Amino acid sequence: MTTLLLTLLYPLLLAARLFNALSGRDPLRRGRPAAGSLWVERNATPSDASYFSEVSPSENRGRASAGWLPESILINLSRWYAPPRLRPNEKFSAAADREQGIPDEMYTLW
Amino acid sequence: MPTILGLSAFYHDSAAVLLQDGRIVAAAQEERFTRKKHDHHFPEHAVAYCLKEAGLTAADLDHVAFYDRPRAKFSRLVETLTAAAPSSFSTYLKAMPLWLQSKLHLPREFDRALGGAHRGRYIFTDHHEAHAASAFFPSPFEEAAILTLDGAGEWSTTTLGHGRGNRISLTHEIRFPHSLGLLYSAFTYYTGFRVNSGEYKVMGLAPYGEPRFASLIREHLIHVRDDGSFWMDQDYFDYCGGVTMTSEKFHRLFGGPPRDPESLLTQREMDLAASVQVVCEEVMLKCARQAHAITRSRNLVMAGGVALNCVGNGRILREGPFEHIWIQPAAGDAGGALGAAQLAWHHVLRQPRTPDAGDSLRGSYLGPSFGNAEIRTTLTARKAVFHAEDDESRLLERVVELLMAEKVVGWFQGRMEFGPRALGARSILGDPRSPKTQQVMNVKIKFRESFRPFAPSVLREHCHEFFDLAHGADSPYMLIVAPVREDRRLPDSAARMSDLQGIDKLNVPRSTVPAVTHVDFSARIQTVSPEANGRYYRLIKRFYERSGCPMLVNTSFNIRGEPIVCTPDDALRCFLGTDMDALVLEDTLLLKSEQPEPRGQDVADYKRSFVLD
Repeated sequence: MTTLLLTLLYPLLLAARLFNALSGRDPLRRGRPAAGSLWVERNATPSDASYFSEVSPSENRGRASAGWLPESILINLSRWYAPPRLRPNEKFSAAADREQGIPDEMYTLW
Repeated sequence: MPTILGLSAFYHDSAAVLLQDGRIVAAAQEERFTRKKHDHHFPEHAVAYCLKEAGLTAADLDHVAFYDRPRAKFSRLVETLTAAAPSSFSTYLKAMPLWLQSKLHLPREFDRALGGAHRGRYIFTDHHEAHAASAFFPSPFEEAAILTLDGAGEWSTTTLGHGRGNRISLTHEIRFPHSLGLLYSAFTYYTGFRVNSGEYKVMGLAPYGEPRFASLIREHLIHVRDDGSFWMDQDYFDYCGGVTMTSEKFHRLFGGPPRDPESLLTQREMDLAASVQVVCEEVMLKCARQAHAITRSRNLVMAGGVALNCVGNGRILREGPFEHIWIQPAAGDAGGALGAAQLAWHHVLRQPRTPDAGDSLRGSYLGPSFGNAEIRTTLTARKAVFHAEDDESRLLERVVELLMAEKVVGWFQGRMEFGPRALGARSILGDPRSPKTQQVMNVKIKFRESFRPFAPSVLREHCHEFFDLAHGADSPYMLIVAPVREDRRLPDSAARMSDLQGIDKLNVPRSTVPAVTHVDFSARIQTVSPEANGRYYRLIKRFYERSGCPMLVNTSFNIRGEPIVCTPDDALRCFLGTDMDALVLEDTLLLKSEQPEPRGQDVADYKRSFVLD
């Protein structure tokens, strides 16, 4: 079921990529850069309240990209998968573990 | 007394740290308890240990802080998969289920892991901010420049900033996929080692090679500006959308596919290692100079996995603009747990900070310890033959005698280290003067590649007599590499080595302490002081009084692929499964010659129980 849903959503990523390409957006800065410094100034220092958020005030997408659309849909989809609360005396185990066969070096990036 | 639990988890090197009233009470990596190297699971055993150390339960925690912002990381993941579409489809199908079911629900996961006992909201910090905090807040400096370098966090891979008092501020960054850590990891993968643990091997292999590929790397893979900023040509890498580090174009550039793990190492791998190491050092040095240019500080603190590149650190110390540098010993992701907890304390709770004269890590001895009674109960249950040596002087004398007879000794004392280095609490020790030590320890005890170098633990006050490190300079966490002094090198060794290639150089004795002198005459130094580790200091001092040599070989107490031992039982298994000659567990001495012959099957099972790294 999850695989089917994800497969159905993947064209959104393709569309986002196409949109980015046609509109000259390069959120990963893959294109060869012009001369000059490549340091990026970080956004504002986080406020105290922002530490209670899973969204970073300093590290966000940075440049407009159509990737926000598949991201929003996937986040909404994830609500269906929220793990149940632990029942009394139930031993903890993570709601999901990494899929077998993913190399360590890739897993740490995802 | 506010209590804060810091967590790192779900990527690699999961860990937990407990702060009480701002003081670090306990810190440990999950791998030490589960015996699974770089364990990525929620650190339930490490959390249990931290709480036990403080005599608390999860219900007593005021705050729980996590070292990452999952929504920011998810944003980066989706953006990366989008940029690589359609070739990212299979990666997308592999990565997304875990996010949908777990990583996008971390507060719920934490609630479950803590048994619902924590009622407060969870604190999340940026990954690199956690690294920066772990570098600055425990450091001895009131103010310092901050440099973090690692593979990737949310978006940042490298950051510069400044810390003063109880505040840190990161002002500049390099963003994913442009990452010095990932460049190094790509070569780790390409030379046939495991990413996230084989980077040490690449660094150790580099002195056997010539950096003949460095210009290719600079020309094609990474474009570095004078201010240390850089851009990487993603056509040569596959980590954005695929499941390997390097692309076919990378392989064509360097003349072939990646080396098969465990196959013969050739001069080509050594040259590749030397090349990426040179480029890495150049970027580290330029970044450090840029941090100085921005902050004008005399002090530098560093963290992130690349900060474990102690050769690069040594160059920053010797050639960089800073008077003092301090590097977080748990510079990788485990240290992020500490940074997250300290950000909660100083930034969220706005608590003041008073730097300690040394640092506030107390030698990084922050893990579990075991008493003599518990140790001897374990040994008795395992039918081991042991000697209770409750007089320290006598114990040290016996250990020194063993070391001087070129025996290899397991040394298990006090609280376990936090971070990847063994610093004299869970160490294997040997005599650095013996030309046999390096090979014996690598092949018969650690079961690892013979080229890998060993580090010296040297009395701090004698360090400058052997190494080109300023008198009084400190390297308590084994994170600085320095040259062996010219007058300690053997006169014709350089000439003899110049006639040799690769691993053959290893057979030439290089200095009066050959076991800790790498083939480029460098050494990864741990300075030992009585304040940081009294008994270890006294052992080395006793060895010095008897031998005239103020240092010992110190390597981590484990075999290849095994996490460093945590408990007496782990230490005993390692002792019995290897050719180690003696074991010291607190005040208890075991000699291999007196132990019942272990069953061959037990030894084989022990060696097989760890995945080679």
